[in-house]
Amino acid sequence: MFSRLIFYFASPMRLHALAGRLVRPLLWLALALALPGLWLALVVTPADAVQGEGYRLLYVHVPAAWMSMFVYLLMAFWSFVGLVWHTRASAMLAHALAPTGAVFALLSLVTGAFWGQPMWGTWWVWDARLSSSLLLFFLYLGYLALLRANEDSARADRACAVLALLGAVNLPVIYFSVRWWNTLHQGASLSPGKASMAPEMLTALLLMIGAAWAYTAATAFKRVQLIIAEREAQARWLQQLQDDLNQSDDGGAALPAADLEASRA
Amino acid sequence: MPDAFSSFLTPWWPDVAAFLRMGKHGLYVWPTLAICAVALAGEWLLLMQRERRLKSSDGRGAGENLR
Repeated sequence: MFSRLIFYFASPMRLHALAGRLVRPLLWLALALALPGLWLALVVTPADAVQGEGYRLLYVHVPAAWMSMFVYLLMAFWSFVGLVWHTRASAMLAHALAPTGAVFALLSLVTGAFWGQPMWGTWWVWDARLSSSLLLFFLYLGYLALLRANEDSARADRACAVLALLGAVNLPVIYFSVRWWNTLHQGASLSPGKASMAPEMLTALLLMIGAAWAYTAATAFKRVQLIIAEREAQARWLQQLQDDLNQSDDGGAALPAADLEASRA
Repeated sequence: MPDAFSSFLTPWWPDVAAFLRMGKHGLYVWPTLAICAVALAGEWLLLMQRERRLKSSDGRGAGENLR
């Protein structure tokens, strides 16, 4: 079932149509989750007994840190699919995810530093969790640099896929670093089956994590649409879609044409 | 149930100044939230810019002969 879906949307035309449908609903979903999440995080939940009000950084730091890792995992997955089955859309999806992952990796480091200063008395320390998170950010930068350095898109896809797969080794190191080594960073607030926090704090955190997921999906789908438009500029289906968009003031009216093309394929 | 609902509408702070101060951590919490908002909004601004560039160049020079 899952592999059928992957191969169905391996066609850039189908992926473009799917992305066009999902971007707006996902953005609205992100907003619908973030607003109550922020309300609970900033207004309702009480101060932490140990960390005071500064613990509220958790509601942005944890989603950013999680997304930086999940996005890389997804990139590695699509890179693997692209390398093995030579599906063009897989590489495009990985490329679309990379900048968002880099943003979340940077936000994870910055929000962590702002949390570290009042709690630990330092903005930065070279412990295992922080260093491996910094390495993840550099991996994202390396991926993006490699993508831009290659004029030949097929070559760029392969090089980026190899880097994404090699860099995935860093993910378990980040996740387990607080267990494997004695680090300044605290242990996981959430782990499978248990949460070391009050229910309203957990609700706020889950809402913010959900918002980060929806934002990431919306952004990646929007970017993959642009990547497809740039790479498939000569494709007839895309030119037909652009003609529809040009003829219609309402961008949404062009979607059925894309569907029609997809059904013909 | 009404108690549970009203607890979701009751702020923890006694006044707005205390909310902004957040103990002594307001100096860390608010800039962090601002940085996150600017980063995410900035990402979308760049995406919109890229889309505008793509539309203005029309992106179909290579395909003109194929039509």
